[in-house]
Amino acid sequence: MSFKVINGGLLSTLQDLGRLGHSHTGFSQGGSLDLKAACWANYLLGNSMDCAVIEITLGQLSLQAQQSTVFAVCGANMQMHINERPLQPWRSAVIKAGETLSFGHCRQGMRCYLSVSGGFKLPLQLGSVATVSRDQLGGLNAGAKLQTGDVLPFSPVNINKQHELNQQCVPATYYQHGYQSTHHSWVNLNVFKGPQWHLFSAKDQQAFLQQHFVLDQQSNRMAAKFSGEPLRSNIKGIVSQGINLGAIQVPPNGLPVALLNDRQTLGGYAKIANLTSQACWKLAQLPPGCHVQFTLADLANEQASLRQFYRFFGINL
Amino acid sequence: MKIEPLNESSLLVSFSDEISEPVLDLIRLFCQQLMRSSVRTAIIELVPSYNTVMLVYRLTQTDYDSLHRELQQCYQQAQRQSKQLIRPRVVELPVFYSETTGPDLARISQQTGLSVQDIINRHTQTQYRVYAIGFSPGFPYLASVDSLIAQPRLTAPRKNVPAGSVGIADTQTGIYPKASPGGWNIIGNCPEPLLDSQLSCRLNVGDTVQFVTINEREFVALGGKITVGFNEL
Repeated sequence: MSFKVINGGLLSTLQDLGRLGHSHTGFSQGGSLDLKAACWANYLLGNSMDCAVIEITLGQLSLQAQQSTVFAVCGANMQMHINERPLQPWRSAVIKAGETLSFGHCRQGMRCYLSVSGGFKLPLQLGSVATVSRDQLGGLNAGAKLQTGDVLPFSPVNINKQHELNQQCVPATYYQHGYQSTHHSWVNLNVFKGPQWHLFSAKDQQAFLQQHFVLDQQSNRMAAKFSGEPLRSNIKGIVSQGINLGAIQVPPNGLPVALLNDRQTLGGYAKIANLTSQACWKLAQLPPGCHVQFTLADLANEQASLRQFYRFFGINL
Repeated sequence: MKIEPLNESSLLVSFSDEISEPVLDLIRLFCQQLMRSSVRTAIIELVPSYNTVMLVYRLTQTDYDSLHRELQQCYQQAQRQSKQLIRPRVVELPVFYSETTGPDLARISQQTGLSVQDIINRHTQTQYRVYAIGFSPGFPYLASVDSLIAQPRLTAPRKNVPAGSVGIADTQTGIYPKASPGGWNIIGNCPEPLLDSQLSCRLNVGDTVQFVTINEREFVALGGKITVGFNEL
């Protein structure tokens, strides 16, 4: 039982909840950048949340089902088709043996997540299939993205009439706000004060929270870079310390960099802020050129909301 | 000691502002206490580095306030223990110091006026402590290098430093576990892998490292490979 990769697309990688518990030996976390969309994709199929999914960045992936199965896609809208039939994201669907699932260009958002009933069957490295190219780990082949000819094995599934008739979908109210077109407006990203917040001048702190930064083209799974009016901080490097998901560093050029799933584990730049988890997922869907503003969030509220998210999906995090 | 939240499920414990062996030992004991405490199952990541420990926890199993209390207790226990003499584990690592495996030896010799042999002696005569592991999987940050052979990072990093390369950056020394780009001054090569086939790391933060000189024959016998002209790669 498998999908055969006809075209790997621009950047399609196998991901899961991440390679957790190995930061202290220098391994990057990896994992789905938009955890919310990835979880919904597994949820629609009744999968466990640690099942691997394919993170499809900017589309162009095409897969041929070698056997029939049920799959789900959540996240960015990428003009999906099964053969010639168009398909909407945020729902599950049946694909029959020999049919081809293809993704076109991205219309809204940047990434979508494909799950298959029962999950992909892949070997784990340090407990995870997460593809991390900088560590040459995970995926099918030492951290490589999906390529033509790759075979993605999955478990057999008994497709009955119910599957074909009652396809599951996520109610629009759960996702519509996060995946709107954002080219012509600005997006708010919630942050907490970072461990070096107090080393920045009041003017820098204000400039960080008040200006609109522009998401840079150079952003990737490791870091999101922002352009704008540089902060004038004269902070030299700090003693290297662990870097958390969503940490916002300010290197000597004064422009903030948000560190994401494939970040290095240690770093010596001052961190002015830290994105909330939900802001990291939101950021994963923003196109380069998008304007953002950072806003201070309340810790207790964000904790309650994230805890609720983990409990809803049954994630032990 | 200071504890502050980083996000919904992580926090930073900051120890002293200084970098010193007593602080390192306190951090090591603190982490050991924590991994024996009742909250250990709620810990996802515990990342010690020089004078901080970053901790990521399971939000569904604990909360910031209970963790905060537990961390303070562990800190007090670690402080009590640190008064006794603790001997960190010593790990011996063989290094083939040569012009072929250490292309920066000659330049350091020119810049410092020390002979190549003197640089090698000064590098092996010091016992180093592992202050952090990171940057890339298994990369140990070792300190402190004899100030006479301390060298700033290269202005332009090399595109490909061979696995096992032993380098100096300021008063730190380290080993590249895998081939990677890098800007440290390379003086030799350690043929023993720092990550085993299961990807578990040979060194822990707090360990002591003793470099031991080996010759080319021993280097090759231990599986070492000489990358010809990697300076130009």
